[in-house]
Amino acid sequence: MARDLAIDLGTANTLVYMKGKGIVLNEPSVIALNRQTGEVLATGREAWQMIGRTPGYIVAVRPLRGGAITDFEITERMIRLLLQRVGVSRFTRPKVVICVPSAITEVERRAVTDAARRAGAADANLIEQPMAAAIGADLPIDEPVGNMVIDIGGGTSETAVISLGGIVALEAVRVGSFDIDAAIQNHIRREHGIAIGERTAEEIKIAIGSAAETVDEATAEVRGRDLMSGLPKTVVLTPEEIREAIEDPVSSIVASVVRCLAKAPPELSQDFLVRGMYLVGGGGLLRGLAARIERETEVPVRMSNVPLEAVVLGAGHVIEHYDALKGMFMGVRR
Amino acid sequence: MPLLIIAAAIVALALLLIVRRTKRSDDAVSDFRRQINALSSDARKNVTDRVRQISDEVPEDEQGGSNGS
Repeated sequence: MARDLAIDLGTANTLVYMKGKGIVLNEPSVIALNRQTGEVLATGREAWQMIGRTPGYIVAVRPLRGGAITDFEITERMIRLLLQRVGVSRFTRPKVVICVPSAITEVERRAVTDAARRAGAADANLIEQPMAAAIGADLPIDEPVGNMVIDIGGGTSETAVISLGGIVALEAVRVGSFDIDAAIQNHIRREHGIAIGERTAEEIKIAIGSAAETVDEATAEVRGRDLMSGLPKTVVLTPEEIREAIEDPVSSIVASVVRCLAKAPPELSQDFLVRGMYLVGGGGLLRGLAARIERETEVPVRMSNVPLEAVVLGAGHVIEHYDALKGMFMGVRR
Repeated sequence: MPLLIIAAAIVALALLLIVRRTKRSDDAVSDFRRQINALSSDARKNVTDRVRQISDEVPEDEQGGSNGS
């Protein structure tokens, strides 16, 4: 008998929580395929290392974009291989809870559950990412108080106000860390005439990217391909120019937080001033983002202790208390 | 006599409906209570402890990327 699973099927990473065991898998949501035969060559971290470095016949792709499945067949194969790695086979069919963005459409919802069922799940249910994140971040969502959680993932950013086990206000935008990386790539191409890959853009973001001015700022050297000569070239980037380059996606995220605050009932709004908002997800690790949100909303922002694992941890709690919490699944209570 | 039987059946049906409705609202209350209890900090302690322990064990440089979920 297979143990039931909770899956955080993210645009950037996929995490799997096994009932009674905890997190058993944490890998990038990437799959490498042989373009000619269609065979899977690698998944997860191994495939991630191949991005932008493959010969012509290999393609390393992320089958999810903006929290949505862009290629159903590849996603299904990736889920099947990931489930096989945690011991799921055609004879052991577990119940599965999958975290998805709350703004997901009915078609996307069905695509995710179908992919999980075909990949070996006996039953697949969905739970909204901000709800799972709030459970995983250990917020007191069982109490009649306003809990605000901001989940910034690879493809989506969601802000939710949660009280008494339910979502009171929600705001989601399909803007996330990958849009910040793409903005860095575009800036360097436009301003310096250099082409860089998405992994290099991510490294620049981690090294010197920021949403607001910080204390310890340094420059960074970046190597790429000169668009005119085609030769390798090195340029020096400053934190200010990267901050300007990523201003559009960052301000979209901050604006969505402001909109969510405006939607919250006044009784709960006063709780935020005391309790603050909680930031989860890899995108929340962007330097200065918490300070920027705090400055623009005048509400304290706190970082979760487990920003990258909060969502799967929350879904894991749901799988541990499946019967009591099955009313939280998407489509059940509405 | 037939009228009496019909009246008895109507009364029985009405009673049945009332009992079912009361039971359903009791079920909703207990389901909600169970859900809230399962979300309490006490109920969540085991999961949080386990994952904190796991995240302490995994060094950060083993992570694939930082783009989040």
